[in-house]
This record gives sequence, structure tokens and C-alpha cells, in this order.
Amino acid sequence: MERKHMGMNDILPLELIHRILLRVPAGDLFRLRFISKLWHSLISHPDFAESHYDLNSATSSHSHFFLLKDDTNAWCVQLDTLFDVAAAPTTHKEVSLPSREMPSFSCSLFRTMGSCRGFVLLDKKLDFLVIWNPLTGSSKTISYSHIKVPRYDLIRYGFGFDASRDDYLIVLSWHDDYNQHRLVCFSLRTNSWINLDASLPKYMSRWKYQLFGWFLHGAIHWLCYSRDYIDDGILIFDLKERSFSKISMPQQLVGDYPITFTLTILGGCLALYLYDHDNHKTEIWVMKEYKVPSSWILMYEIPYGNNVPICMSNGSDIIALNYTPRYYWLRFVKYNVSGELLNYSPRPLFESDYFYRSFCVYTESLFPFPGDNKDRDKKNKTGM
Amino acid sequence: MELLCIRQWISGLLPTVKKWLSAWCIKPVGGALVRQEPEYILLALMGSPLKKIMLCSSEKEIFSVEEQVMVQHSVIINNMIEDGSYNHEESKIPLDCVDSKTLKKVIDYCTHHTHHHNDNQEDLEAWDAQFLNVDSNGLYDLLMAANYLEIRNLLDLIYGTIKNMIKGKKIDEIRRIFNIKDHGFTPEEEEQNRKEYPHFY
Repeated sequence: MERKHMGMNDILPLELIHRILLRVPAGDLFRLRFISKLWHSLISHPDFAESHYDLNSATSSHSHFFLLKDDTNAWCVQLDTLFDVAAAPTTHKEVSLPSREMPSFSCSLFRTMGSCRGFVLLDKKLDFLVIWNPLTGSSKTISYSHIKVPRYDLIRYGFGFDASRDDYLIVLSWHDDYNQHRLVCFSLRTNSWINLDASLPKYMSRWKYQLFGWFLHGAIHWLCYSRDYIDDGILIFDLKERSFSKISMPQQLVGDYPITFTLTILGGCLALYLYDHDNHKTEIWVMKEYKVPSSWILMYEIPYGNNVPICMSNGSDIIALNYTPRYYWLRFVKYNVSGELLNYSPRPLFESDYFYRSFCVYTESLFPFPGDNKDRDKKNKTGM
Repeated sequence: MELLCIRQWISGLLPTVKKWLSAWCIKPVGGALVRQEPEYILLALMGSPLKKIMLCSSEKEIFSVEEQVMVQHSVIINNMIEDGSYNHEESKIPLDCVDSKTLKKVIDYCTHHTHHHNDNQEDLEAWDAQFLNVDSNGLYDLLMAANYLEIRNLLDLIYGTIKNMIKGKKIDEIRRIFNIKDHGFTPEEEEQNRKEYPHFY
């Protein structure tokens, strides 16, 4: 074949085409499977999703902001092109939530309960959970209405991935009618509930903890508060060992009058943020070294309104959702370490009451459900 | 005096030397004004030759290039020089899978980036964009050469360029850009795909 009739597939060795595809954003890869059979086999290979995720999850280029609009729709916002006016048409996408096979008995709206490896966990209070990959469209609905929780606000959620068993786990924790602390988890691979009451340490009953946990380094993390405030800290549930441990808060914040912190993950590290109403600034503390309490540092002090940090960008800049009463809308803003405003999103995005809606950050991935390689193409279409 | 000592001596004098050297360091090269690093000028003036190595393309054409330049960029060449398998007096490095045209471009890239590593980011990016303004076949040849010679920054640059050529485009357009004529799907499969995901095409 003459050179001019040859295309990429004929000229480049397989290894180089593979490496090129590893660098293409996940959003494009989903489409690229249909370019040719060769590309389809490279992208659909079981190890490809893992290699691609490992290569790309460290950068913010695949981070997306997911905000529930109502029970049928959500917005997915691409965070790395957020401030790029030219990319505005593709930065925001409205997506349809997966359709439900079962009717809902709950009159509350969906809530997001975090994300893990490209899957977002949605919850219909006390009724069912949905694990959904917005990019590929794969979804699974898991009913939990059989769990009797005396008060709806006592249930706690966690979502993570157990690499040792190649399994996604949803962890639920609550106090039952006898005020006993209970713990169960749903395993996606075995499609069954596992009772983990035995893993609960005795000292758990002293604590209340926040609604949903964050998955990092193979464990789910919840912020926990004790009655005397001195024992406040971060509760860690290791998914492989199925055991609990705890690390403490920044020394400077312990023992104070209860301040409302929120736990999050920024730049691959655990972080706490709080809004100082008196001084109108947001403080963000970051635990630079995992599980080393002395490495907590006050990294950011951001002025001007209530800023909810979403992710890191360019190494140490922070992208946050900003709610300033003066402007009747939500904006994305970018600050650097010195608290200087670097950028803000070009147009008002959402009405301000969305500030209290459920949102989360997820990294796009092509992961299928465990043991589920064949039917990926046939899952619900989301129009993405 | 060894090269290293010369460099150290120059670094000590550099602030003053740089000032009066910068006046006569401007040298027209191919119509563009190029600023040469003062160290290199001084070394040349002092008669200290910059070590060169010989690279031989698949077409048996020989290219002479500064050792420093190739060692900085190509892991393969760096290893060859370091483990002593390259003899400066006699040998030339045979690069049988790189043709002359591509080898010349690769040398251009490495040379520019070594001599201009202090330039600001925008200028370097502009030069890179101009450098990669080639047809797809030229791009593939550069990619394979950069891969063979293990030139990290050139590889990343080309990967980034190809990624941008793919991003956001529909399937028919990508097939055109990369000249993928035979997609390998059966007519039935292709039709099924187009029906199920029309917006991809």
C-alpha cells in the first residue's frame, strides 16, 4: 500500500495508538470505540479503563461537577474548561438521570452521596439507591427500604471501591430501635447485603457523624463529632480490612465551641472547610500527609462570601462554588493560595437556591460494573 | 581547562559578561533574530569545541549535532554515551528507523529547546505549534522517532496535539483526519452503531 493511502491504523504500531488513547479524555473515548474495530478492542480491553483512570485521575482535567436539578435531570460541568469562554457550549451538559424501574414511595428528592471511580451514588431517602456512571450510562438500582431506621436523619452513607475484591461497596450505618449502632454494606459484585455489626468498635456510640463519607486510599472517611468536642475527628473505615480507625482534627480547632466543619477531598488529600460568618471568610484546612494529624495546615483563607471548595487546579489553586448574597446566583470561582481571586465563571450558572441542592464532584471513567464487561453498550442511554 | 571549570569560571563572571556580550550576541539566523546563550559564545571564542556526535539516518545520511543537545533530550542517546559504547572519534549512531527528513526535524526540536530553554512559555509554545505544523504522515514519523529515541517532551507534545485533533470531533471527521479507511466493522455492525448513536457520527 502506498504511503498516501495509509492511515493512522496502518502506520503507527499498536503500542503508540494505545498510548494516544490513554491520553484522550474519557468523554471522547466512549465515542471513539466506534471509530474502528481496532480502537474498539483497545478501549474495551478490561485493563484499559484502569490504566486510563490511573493516568488521568490525578489531574483535574477529568473532574466534573455534578448538580442535581430535579428528580429527572442533572447538570454535569467540566471543571477544567470552566473559565474558558470559548469552550462554554461544551462545558455544561444537562443529563437525564437513569429511568427507574420501580415506583418511588419516597416524596423527597434525590440526593447525591458522593462518587467513586466515575460512579455517582444517588439516594432516594430510605427507599433506594442508584449507582450511575454518567458517561457510559450504566446504572444499578438497589432498594434498601427493608432497613428499618427509626429516624430518617440517623442513617449515614458511604460509597467506595475495594480493590482487593474488585468490588464497589455501599456502606450504611444507623441506630436501630434499641439505640444499637448498626452497620451493613451492599456489595455490587455479589449483589447482596453484608452485615458488618461486628466491625463496629465499642466507642462508636459516642459519636455522631456527617451524612456521607468520602472515599480515599481504599477507605471511607466521615467527619465525627463527640459530645465533649474534644474527641472530634475523622472516622476511617478500611474497605479491605473492614475495620475502623480514627484520626484527629487539626490541633488548633479542637475543643472550641462547635464549629460546623465539612469534610472534603482536595488534591488527593483530606480537607476540612468552614465558613466564618463573622469575618465572611472560608477557612480550608488540608491534611498534607495522609493519616498524619500533625500535617494539618490552614492552607486557604478565602474572603468574599460563602465558598464551597470543589477541587484543586494547577497544583494549588482552588475552584469553589461561590454564593454571594449580593449576586443572586451561584458562580464558580478560582482562588490561589493567597486568597486572591483569579477567575470566575463567565455567566451566572444556577439560581442561588441551588446552593443547597445536592452536588458532588466525580472523575469521568469508563469503568463497567464488576463482572459486567459485555453489556456496557446496551445500558441506558443518557444522550451524552 | 575542563569544560566544567570553564563553566564555573564563567558563571562567576556572568553578570558583567552577560551585559556586554548581549550587545553583540544578536545573530541573524534565517531571517529571524536569535539570541545565543553567552556561555556558548564565550566557549566558542575560547576555542573550546562543543562535543559533537554523529547520527546516521535510515537513508545513510549523517547529521552532526552537539552531544549536549541530544543527551539532554534523548534517553536512548544519553544511555549510549554514558555507558561508553559510543566512541567520539569513530562512531556514528545508526538510527535505521528514522529517515533523514524526520531526523532533521528531531534535531531541530532538541537544538531549539536546549538553546532556548530560558525563553518564556508563550514563545516556546508558539515555536512548538509552528514546528508541528506538518501533515499527518509527518506527525506519525515524528511520533515514532520520538518514541524510539525516548524524547519525553517531544512525545508529550505530539500526544497532546493528536489528542486535540480528536477532542470533540465526530467519528466521520476523525476517520477523515487520520485516514482510517477500513474501520473493520461488518456493514451490519456499522449500521447498528450508526442507528444506536447517531449523534456520534
